[in-house]
Amino acid sequence: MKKKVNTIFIIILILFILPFYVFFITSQNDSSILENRTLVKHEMFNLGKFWNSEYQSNLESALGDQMLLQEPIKKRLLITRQKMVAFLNKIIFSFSNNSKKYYVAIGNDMYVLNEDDYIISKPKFSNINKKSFAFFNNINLEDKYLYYIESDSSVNFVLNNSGKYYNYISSNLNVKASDKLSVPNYNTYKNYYYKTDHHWNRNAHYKAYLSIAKLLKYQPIIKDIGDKEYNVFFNGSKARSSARFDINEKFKVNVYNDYKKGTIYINGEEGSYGDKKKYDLGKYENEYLTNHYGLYYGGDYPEIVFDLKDDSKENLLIISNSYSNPINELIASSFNKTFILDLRSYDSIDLNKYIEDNKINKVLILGDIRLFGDSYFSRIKLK
Amino acid sequence: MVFSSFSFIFFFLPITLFLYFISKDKYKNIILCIASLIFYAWGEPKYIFLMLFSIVINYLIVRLMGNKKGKNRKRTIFLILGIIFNILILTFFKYGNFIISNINNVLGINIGLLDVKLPIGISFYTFQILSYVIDVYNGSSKVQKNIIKLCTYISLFPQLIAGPIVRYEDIEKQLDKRTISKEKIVQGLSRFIIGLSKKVLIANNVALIANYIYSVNPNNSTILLWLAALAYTLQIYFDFSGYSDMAIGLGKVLGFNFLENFNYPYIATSITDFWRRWHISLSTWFKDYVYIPLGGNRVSLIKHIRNILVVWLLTGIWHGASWNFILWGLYYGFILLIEKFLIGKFIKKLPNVIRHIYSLFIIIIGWVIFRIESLHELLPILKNMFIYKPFDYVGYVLESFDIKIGLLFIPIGIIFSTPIKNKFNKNNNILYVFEKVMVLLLFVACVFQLLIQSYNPFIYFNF
Repeated sequence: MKKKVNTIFIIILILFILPFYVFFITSQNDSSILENRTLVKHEMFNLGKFWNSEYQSNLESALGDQMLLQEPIKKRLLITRQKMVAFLNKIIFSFSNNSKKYYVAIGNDMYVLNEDDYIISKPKFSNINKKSFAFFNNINLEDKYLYYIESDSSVNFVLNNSGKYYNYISSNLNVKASDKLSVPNYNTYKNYYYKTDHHWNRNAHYKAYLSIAKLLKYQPIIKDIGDKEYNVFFNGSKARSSARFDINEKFKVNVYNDYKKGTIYINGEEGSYGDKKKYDLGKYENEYLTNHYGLYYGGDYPEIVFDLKDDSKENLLIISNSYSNPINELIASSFNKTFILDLRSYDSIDLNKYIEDNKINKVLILGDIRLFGDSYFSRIKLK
Repeated sequence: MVFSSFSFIFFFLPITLFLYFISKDKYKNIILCIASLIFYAWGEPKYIFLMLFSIVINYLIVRLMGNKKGKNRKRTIFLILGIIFNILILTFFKYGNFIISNINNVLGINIGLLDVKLPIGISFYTFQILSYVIDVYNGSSKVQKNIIKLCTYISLFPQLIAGPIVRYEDIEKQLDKRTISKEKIVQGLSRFIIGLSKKVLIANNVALIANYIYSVNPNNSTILLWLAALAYTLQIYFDFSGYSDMAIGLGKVLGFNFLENFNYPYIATSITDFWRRWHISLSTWFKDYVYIPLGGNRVSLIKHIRNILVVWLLTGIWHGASWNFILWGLYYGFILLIEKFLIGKFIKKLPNVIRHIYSLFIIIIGWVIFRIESLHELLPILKNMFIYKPFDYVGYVLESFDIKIGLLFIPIGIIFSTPIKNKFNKNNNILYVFEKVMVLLLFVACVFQLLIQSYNPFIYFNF
């Protein structure tokens, strides 16, 4: 009996291991929807890379990334782990003071407040790189403005310290005027942000559009005349980080009056921005973890230009990250030319020259706390 | 390369075993030697030459020493040469910068540090080489004239990077002749998988607790520091004994019988008992090659105490180039002296429960000393473990994903620190089948755990 069991044991092990060699024969997978990244592929042996241990790292990553069915297995495992942690949270909560608010970790640097279903981050002062202030202060144009977006990355909802980072940033920036999207408490946060994404929602960016108009002293012409809900769930960046695929939220947008969009240039070439028409026609991707925010409103590009060919109006430069995506077009409707730069794509840039060359009249620094951190200036060397 | 990696489990090991099993007996040592060198070079492509150099030099030294019985002057010179050579290599790579930093601190000078990295496994393979040199000198082993066999012994991949320390006399005959059977292969693979589970499922997860608590405010509250200490106690046991299980298991698959290295140390009833159960290969090495040559307990009381303290000082030093390891070694040295000469008989009369609690208390404190390399951090941590500091534990634990993951594995770790599986009758066929099914499921669980650890989502700032 034992001999038979031993034979079966060895056969099962061999059968389990054999599929791992499949990818040496067949084609390798390119990317993972779950992880939103390019998968590592196995490379041929190279002595030079072996000497530097690069070949070894590559093989280790490739074996994991190219494993048969690795994506559904990972998803299922992560969900199981989440459920086990959720069960433990319930037990720990039973020891807690019910009236107190707690940041409850559901992933690495991902939290919910008590047992709520909005995934949030926790503010970290180290998110700010003080050298970014010198960079922005180096812009010589007098008509320079700051619109700061408060979010979960800059407001502690247990301590309720809204304004702390805005006060610090605005006091260090030399701008003509500044304003912020204020998130004084958690309820306001829920009104302004998606459940599982770090971006702001339609309520927040329209409010910001109106506030920016006041800040830059122009009459806003875009009116919110209703809303639209698409039959698709938006599981955003935080769902991916925390593996909480169970929190669902329908993707909802504002409906605006008609306005002039002008000619759009993406990285110098004429093009279009966002896929609003496709969504209206029902032609949107239905895969889980699809970035509807980016697809609908428009993605991040090094340079976007809106040209309304109206010389009676001023030219505007917006320095921003993905937060400006939903309101680029809205703000641009009140200017002649609007240039939007995402500095994450630049190794270096002379902004003063750019402003001069493009006859820019106003500069708007628009973003959340990340705009002043290392992730935004990952390529530009701050001095 | 580590055992708990996809590269080892799905690439290196299957290919090595395949080539090993299909080859004739006379080629098995060559295959094993080459595979072991590739294994080492995989993780240390540059330091493989150091190990080869060490093997060649020791081979020559022992060849020149010869098998001649009796301890003559020439043989003694080669013995001393061999010991100095190996200790020098170990000292240079492992302790060089520690010595230089301390000289700089004491003398107020500024000697530059060495630009060297600690080669993986150097402590283990150096001690193995030393055991070979000394065993040949003592006459308990013969000179190995076949350099491939010597290389196989020293570089044998199952125990190369994390032990157990295999003494040459224990393996000498097995290098020439060993038997391989399906039963041994299955037993070996089962042992390997159990070791892998200990490392990947338990050690890696409970480690999250200690790592989090000691990194996020090391001067934490009392209960959290005890939780961290408990977690580290489990981590180090399952990590180390897991590796030993994997080594012993792989050895068995290849036809070797390595000696046990752990025997449920956390059920010890005294510290003396603990050190008969923990890292057995190291403590017996020091006993046979340091303690007994110094005279052991067959000397005056003062020298006996000296011998014990020397062994424990060296044990501490062997573990790492930092003052906390030396402190840790001496901590146990003094406790063992106290047990031996003062309270040993009294402890034996106590109820088992009290003896276990006493032993675990000393062991856990010992692991805190072992874990915290900075003495500046160690003292406040030890103080806060005994002077109660209130804290919002609920909020702290809720806020840490790592602690919660680790907490899920603490009960499993505690249970499997005890010999619970030994209570089952191994001759029962149904239990045998059940055991093999569980081992296969554990293997799948380990692979899944390694897969989760590779989860690396990209957040689309650049979308």
